[in-house]
Amino acid sequence: MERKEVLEILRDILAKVLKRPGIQLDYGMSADDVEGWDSLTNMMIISETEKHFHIHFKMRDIIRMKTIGDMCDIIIQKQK
Amino acid sequence: MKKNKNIAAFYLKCLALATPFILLIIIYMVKDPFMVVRNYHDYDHDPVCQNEGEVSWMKYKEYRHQMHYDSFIIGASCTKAFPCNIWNKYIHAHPYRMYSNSVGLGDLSMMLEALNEQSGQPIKHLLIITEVPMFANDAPKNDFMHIMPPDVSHKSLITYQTTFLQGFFTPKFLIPYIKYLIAGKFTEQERGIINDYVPECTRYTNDAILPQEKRISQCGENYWRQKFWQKAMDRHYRPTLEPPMISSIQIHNFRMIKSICQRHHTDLKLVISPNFKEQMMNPKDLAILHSIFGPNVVYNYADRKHLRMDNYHNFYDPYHYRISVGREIMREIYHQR
Amino acid sequence: MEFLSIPFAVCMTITFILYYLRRSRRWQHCILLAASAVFIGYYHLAYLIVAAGVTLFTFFAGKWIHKYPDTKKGTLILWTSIIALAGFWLIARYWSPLFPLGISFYTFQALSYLIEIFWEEEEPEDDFWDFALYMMLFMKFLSGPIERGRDMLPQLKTAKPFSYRQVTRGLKLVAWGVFLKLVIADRIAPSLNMVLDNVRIASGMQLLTATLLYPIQLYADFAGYTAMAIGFGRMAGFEFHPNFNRPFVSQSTGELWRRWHMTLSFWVRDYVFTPLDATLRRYGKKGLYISLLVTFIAIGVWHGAGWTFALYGLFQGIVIIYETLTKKARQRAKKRIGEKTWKLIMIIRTYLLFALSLLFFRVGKISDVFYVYRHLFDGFNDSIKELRLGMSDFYWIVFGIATVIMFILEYLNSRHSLINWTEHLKAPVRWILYAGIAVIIFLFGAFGVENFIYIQF
Repeated sequence: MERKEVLEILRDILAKVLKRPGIQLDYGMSADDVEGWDSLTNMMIISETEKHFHIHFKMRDIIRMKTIGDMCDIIIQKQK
Repeated sequence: MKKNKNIAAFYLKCLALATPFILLIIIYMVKDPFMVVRNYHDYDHDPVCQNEGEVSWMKYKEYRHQMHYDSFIIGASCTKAFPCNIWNKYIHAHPYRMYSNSVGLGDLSMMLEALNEQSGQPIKHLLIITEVPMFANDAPKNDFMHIMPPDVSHKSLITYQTTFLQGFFTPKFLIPYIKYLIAGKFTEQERGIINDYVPECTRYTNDAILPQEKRISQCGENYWRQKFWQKAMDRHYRPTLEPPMISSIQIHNFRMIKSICQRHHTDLKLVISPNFKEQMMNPKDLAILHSIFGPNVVYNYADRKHLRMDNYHNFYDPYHYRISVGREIMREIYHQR
Repeated sequence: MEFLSIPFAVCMTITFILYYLRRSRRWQHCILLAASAVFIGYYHLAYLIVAAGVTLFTFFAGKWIHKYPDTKKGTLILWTSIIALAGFWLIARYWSPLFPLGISFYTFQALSYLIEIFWEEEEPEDDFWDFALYMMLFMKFLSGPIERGRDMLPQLKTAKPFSYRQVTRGLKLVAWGVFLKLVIADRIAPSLNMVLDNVRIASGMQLLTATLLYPIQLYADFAGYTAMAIGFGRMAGFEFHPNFNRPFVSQSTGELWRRWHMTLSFWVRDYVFTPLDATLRRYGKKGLYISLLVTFIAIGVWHGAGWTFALYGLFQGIVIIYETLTKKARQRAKKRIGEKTWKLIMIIRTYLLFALSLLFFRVGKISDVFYVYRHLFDGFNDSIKELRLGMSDFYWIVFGIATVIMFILEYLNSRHSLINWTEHLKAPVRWILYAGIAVIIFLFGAFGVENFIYIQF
């Protein structure tokens, strides 16, 4: 899967979980840059992402996801 | 070079800001208002209101070998109603009044332990004067008006000395003290910081000197019409039974007191003082005291039977009863053998 | 030794002079370590031994974990270390007669250090003495801030040159801390203690007053300490994390915990809540709520031994869960009422809930807390003068004005750093300001004034 595709899917997931249909993301954004993405919604986003991509994140994967770009890379890695 | 100039400039500015404090420290060291920096032969003529516990102890150490003290009145300032010469009519010994302002049970135990630790110190007779609120204070107080010397409190000399130095810098002390140093005489604003009369205690027995008795005989009933008395009277105190205060910590302290008395074969009397506020000792606490000390030791004057003692005529101020009350108490407790 | 004591002032002065005597990393670290050992050992030698023991253990545990990243062995070593450290802390908290000062803080630092190594987010420190300084630096030893290894260890790798600006900024922060502690916290403390230590003999109005004011006392006390700790650290060239960010403007309890004791709440978020939530994520919202409850109960228990502290934490967790469940309803209400009015209501509501929860933190027995709740509106016993809580009208005014000043200055500081602003003032104005602050602290600070109450009338 391409990075851009993953980004689009993540955008849909965040829009669904955070109830913000018009949300825009880029690779450099982190949770601090996205309104509503905090420690309470974080695992819901992670969970939805795992369900969608049929993958399982380990704790150290979650820790390494500092930005959207990191998330995309880890997802692509998991799919290989 | 620039770094050195920066640091030098910083230190100079700090020194400039600190100069008033350095001057005050010099004044403190020279004047020694609390009489703790150096040792003295005479502790009774200092104009500054003292840590009475500390002064009691220092005087005891100063005169113990000369006076051969073997009996002690211990308690808070209520002990002023128990002059040693009257007490001595019953005990025929060499008494000394060892007291501290607003002493709690913890302070009292600590003083007695320290006496016990003194080499060759007999304790033939012990008269402990307590007040109802005292039983709630189980920990020794460590502020500069209550901290005891290192050989009593087992605190380090640094802690002891710095407590007084910090107390000196307390604005509530320092400002009246500086005013007094400048003016050279006592004014009403300095009451509680500077003594309006010295000496407050006798040299060898540490008994209170009480000009209030003279004032009462001069003024009569008007003595109790002074402003501070009127304020106290307006409160209309009613007899109140205090809640139980004695728990395991206080019981431990009492057992320790008993153990020391047993070791010295001390004739112990523990008096619970009458009080103007008509606070009554809880029977549960009384029962604990009786069970620890046994018969003919504990005498409770904070009860309904002795409410007549709470009459204002028996008091110099709302906190201190007169010698006549102390005399009556001593007559009762020593004639009940 | 407490920050506000002569022994500390002497220790800090000597340390500062020696520290900048040579611009050598080793020299500076030796001075700081020696000062830290004196500081910790001054209370009790046992505290120093315990801190050194935990430091040694953590240092070597970190190296061992690093050898086995992402393996079962590494997991085992990590969990054994966590159980050992947390277990030791629990024993000290609940069973030991002597609770080593600072242990809650440096234990958390140790745990975060080991966990970050396990997650391969951090390399173990090679220099034992740097690590010892990270764990035991006296400025933050007593009550934090809780610093992460990745933030503080790099700061120890270079010698700190004397910077006039940095040192004076540090000193100004210390002065601010002294103001908060002495003029606000210690001023009101005896009055609140009088009520909260004897709730069953206080009147309803006294209980209400004490309950409403206790958060301010607690905040001024702790924020004052933290300001001093950060200020002293800055004077030595270190930057510590802030602990508070104007918590009383929070519009929800969740927000409050992002502004109150931040180094603790962020620690708990990263090392308790997130891993737990991740483990329970398959349970969806139920997993989230369980994680929240466990996290906040852990925060409560961290503060003290006893059920009251656990209930304190539980209270916070329940409120946050409630806020999560009612998020939509609150947003609708906000639109109806208007943003400004809503903001005010929510700030007051958050403050009141926090004040009520703090009774579990402050009052010794659960039964006494519920007694307070039942009697908050009981009225007076004798007269309105009871509301004075034993403090004179003059000092109530001092306390009130000082509190207002605190809030105003914190608000202004959130827009532009006031400490930096003072640097642009002309020298005479600056000096008048400094002298003024010193006089205010000296005149209005509570220097153990309650101990002076032997003055009879």
